[in-house]
Amino acid sequence: MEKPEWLTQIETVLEVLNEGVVVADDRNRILFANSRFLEMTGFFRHELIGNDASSFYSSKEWASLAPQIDIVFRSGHNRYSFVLPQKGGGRLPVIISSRMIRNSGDQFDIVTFTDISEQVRAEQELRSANLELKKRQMEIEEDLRLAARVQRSLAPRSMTWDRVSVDSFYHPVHSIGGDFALVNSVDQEQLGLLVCDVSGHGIGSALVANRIYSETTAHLQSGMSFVDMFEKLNRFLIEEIDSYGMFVTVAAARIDAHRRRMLFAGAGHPPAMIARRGQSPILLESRSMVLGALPDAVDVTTSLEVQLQPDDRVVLYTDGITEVFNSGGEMLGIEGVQEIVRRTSSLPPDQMKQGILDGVNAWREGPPTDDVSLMLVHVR
Amino acid sequence: MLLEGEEAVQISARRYSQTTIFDLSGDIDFANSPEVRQSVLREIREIRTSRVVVNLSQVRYIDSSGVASLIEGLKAARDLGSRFILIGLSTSAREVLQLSRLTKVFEIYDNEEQALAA
Repeated sequence: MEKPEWLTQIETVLEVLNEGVVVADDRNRILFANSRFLEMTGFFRHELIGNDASSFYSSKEWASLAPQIDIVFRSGHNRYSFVLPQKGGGRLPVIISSRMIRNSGDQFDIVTFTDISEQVRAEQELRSANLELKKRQMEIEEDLRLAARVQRSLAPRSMTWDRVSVDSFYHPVHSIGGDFALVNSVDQEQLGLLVCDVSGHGIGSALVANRIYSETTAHLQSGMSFVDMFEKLNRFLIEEIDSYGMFVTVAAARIDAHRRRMLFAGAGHPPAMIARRGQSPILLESRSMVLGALPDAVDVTTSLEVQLQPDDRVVLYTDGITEVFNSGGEMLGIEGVQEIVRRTSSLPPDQMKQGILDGVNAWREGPPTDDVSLMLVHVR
Repeated sequence: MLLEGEEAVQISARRYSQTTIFDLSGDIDFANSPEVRQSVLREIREIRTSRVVVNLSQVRYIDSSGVASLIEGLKAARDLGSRFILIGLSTSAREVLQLSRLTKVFEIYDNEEQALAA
């Protein structure tokens, strides 16, 4: 088979290209293959020249390739990805760029082959890594769902006795969070309550919250003084948890429902409120600072005693209630919550909790950004 | 990781002899507080600046994570005998620190002049 004159003239140039180059006639017979193409395929030149390109592919491969070749002859050029057969049976991933030329009434196809095996390998590794990540993510999500169920089991249920009832609400901003509340009672007359907020949110805060839950339940139930409870908790957090970057706020109360007396103590926590119908709620401020940060956190006068009246509602909550912003960027704050509590204090006790939550939601622009805990105690 | 709608906190530092003033702007919250924490702790522990001032006059809101970062700065400074000062607290930032009963442990001034003169 005779090589056309123009091909002879450009052979030298084609030889020095970094891409594999083949020139074929309109019957797919190979007229020329450069050295790079020989390297890529492993064939010798005499094994290629004069042979039909289709003879190097399987019939299935050629059936895929033939339409691409037709495009070249119809539109003059084409570019697509495919494989290059190698001696020994291998297949090299390549980008094939093909251009048709005419000369003296004959048609020729100049085809370049760019090796993309590295990119293909990288893509396969990436796909494999993605699959592994997806699998790991599903495992983590399943673990988080379980953790969320465990944590939800810590949320106190609403309870009603003769002289006192407790209504609670808890919602973590992620599936698990750093807030918790607990209620325990020696009998139906003596009630212990505690609301706690671990700084931050998510898994780290939730783990610390779970750890503290056990400590505080035992202390609250034992009748330990709030000063001692806070001191122990503070020491525990600093020495055992080594809670760098984290601290805890607590509001705790013991209510004697028969005598309607309440002992309250707070550590860096938003003030509890005593709501009486038609009056501005009384604020019970924390006297100790946040726990877990500094050794001298607890104030020895941390407890205060309050005489409650019939129909008083005691409201304990975390800063997920106060630190909400409206569309103008204004924070609801304690004053805002105080006003909502005042407004809802005239509602029946079993509707007040939802009334407070509705008031907070009405202020908030956008979804919650912090864990929310709310506990409402009604003293008859 | 910032969620949609959140802004990154901007931190710039002015360094003088023995004093560095961090000018913060934006919100200091769960997403942004690690950056504040790192900057402050690096200044105190590695660079060993003896007086670190954090200017919060352009900080609208600081949550418990942000407060925790400031507490860490305070503890690190105490450990090394440095001073850690807050200036320019907005109403909401001051309220957060008051609620936490932390205003009595931090050194707080209204402005830079007062802080540097103290």
